[in-house]
Amino acid sequence: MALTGGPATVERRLFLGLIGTPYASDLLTSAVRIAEEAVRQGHRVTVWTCGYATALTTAAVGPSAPRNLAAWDTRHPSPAALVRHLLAWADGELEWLVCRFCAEERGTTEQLPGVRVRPSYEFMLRADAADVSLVLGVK
Amino acid sequence: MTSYLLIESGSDREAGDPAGLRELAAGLSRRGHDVVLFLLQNAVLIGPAGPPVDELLRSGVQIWVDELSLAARAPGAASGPDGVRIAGMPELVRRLMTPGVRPVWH
Repeated sequence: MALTGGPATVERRLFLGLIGTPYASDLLTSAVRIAEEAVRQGHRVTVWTCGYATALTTAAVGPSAPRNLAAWDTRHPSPAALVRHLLAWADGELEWLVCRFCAEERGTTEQLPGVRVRPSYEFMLRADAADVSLVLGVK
Repeated sequence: MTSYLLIESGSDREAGDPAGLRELAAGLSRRGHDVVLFLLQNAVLIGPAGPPVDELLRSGVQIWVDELSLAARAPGAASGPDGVRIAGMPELVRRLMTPGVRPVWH
């Protein structure tokens, strides 16, 4: 992922809902790609995770994904490391929020520094407050 | 006229109804709306379900295919059928953030 600056446009607010089982597809990759590009184009982004997507950024997740036995010398960042990097790069233009209801149900309330756990009703408030809302996932 | 961004993320072999989204895209376009169908993730492996690509194009749907998804699934496929545009996140996000565009993720 290339994280470099880009030309600013008229700032708008983008809400991305990330719902469901993120490892079943490239859903997380797509969400991160969209979020990164939106910040690069000068917009503010809110990512809201529900369901098992709340586990992506738990404090217990290490910096690297498990290594592939067929490519043992290659390391890839974990989802948590990716989000930590994205938050630092975005410098306040992106927030990563976790649904408290979903997190409590799954034992994922301990999150990375910078990731905030918010009450479930804020999903609609934040989606409604954004200029553009897009929910990625299974619901 | 309304502008739409329909993002398909699944292939014909997965759960969901990609054929239904393609029919929706064609129907909206025939009614005079401005429709972009963006194929992302496994959707780049577009199959026989629903209206075929040439029919979508004839109805006025703009078909954009995600470059990275295509490279991961079909190495060497640098281009699609005539009329299909290979695009990336900059194009997707510019369309997504354009005022008045209605996005749908599927």
